[in-house]
Amino acid sequence: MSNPVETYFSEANNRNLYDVRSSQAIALFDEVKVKFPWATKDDTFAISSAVQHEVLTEPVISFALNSAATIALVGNTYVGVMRKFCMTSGTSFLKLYPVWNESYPSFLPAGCTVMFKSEHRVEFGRPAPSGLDNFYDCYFKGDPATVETHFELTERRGNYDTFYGVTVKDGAVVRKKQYVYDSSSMFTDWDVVHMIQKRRA
Amino acid sequence: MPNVVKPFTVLDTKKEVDGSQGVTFTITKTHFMDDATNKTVKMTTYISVPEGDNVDTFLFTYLSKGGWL
Repeated sequence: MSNPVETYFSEANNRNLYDVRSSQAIALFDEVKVKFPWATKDDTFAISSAVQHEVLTEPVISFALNSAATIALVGNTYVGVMRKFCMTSGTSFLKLYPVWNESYPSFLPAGCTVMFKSEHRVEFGRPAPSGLDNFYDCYFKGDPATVETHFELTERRGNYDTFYGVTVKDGAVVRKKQYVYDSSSMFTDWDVVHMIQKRRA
Repeated sequence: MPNVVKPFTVLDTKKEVDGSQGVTFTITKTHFMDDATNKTVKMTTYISVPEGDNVDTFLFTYLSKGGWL
């Protein structure tokens, strides 16, 4: 058993992300492969546990695509790409992470650093869920006490770092995610990645 | 409807003498190696697509059968 490289909490839900070589990732891949025979982990470096998606209302397993696959599919302007497998409907889609280039969002408390947004893409030839244009995620860093109070979150803080994501649908926050890192991994240091991406732009 | 991402890029098309569509395209496939590195294979090739067939659908089916997708 391997420790997850990333954990987030969304109220009662939590989701772990595992290195693709771990036993957990291999078991999750086998589960996805039953529903999606075309799925591959050759272009993947991490696989998530299934989490109930509050907007899509079904369990979703995510594959983090490696940089070569990311560039081949969508170019090099994104921090990363996740392929999302919707386990009930048998649909899938891509979630891209561009740098946040919009004004400071009104749904956040003052003083946060807004870093990334999510965008959705459909893959040619693959059935996708409906409603992907209706919501997006905003990823940010902020003073934990301030963010927890603002969003009425349980106090959860990583020993190494803590970041946040909120899902916005029709202008309202419908999901709040706490990314808790107890040690450094390939998924920590969002702020460093954000700074590098901003300089590239 | 979100934008659609295709796993291949059509670089050029031309009409062939029999009416088929000559398509030059490229596709990239990556392999995750045991040592945690990636091996990337990029193929650029030419194929004849029957007249009247949708190029994207033809390529998708062709590449799926060939193990590229």
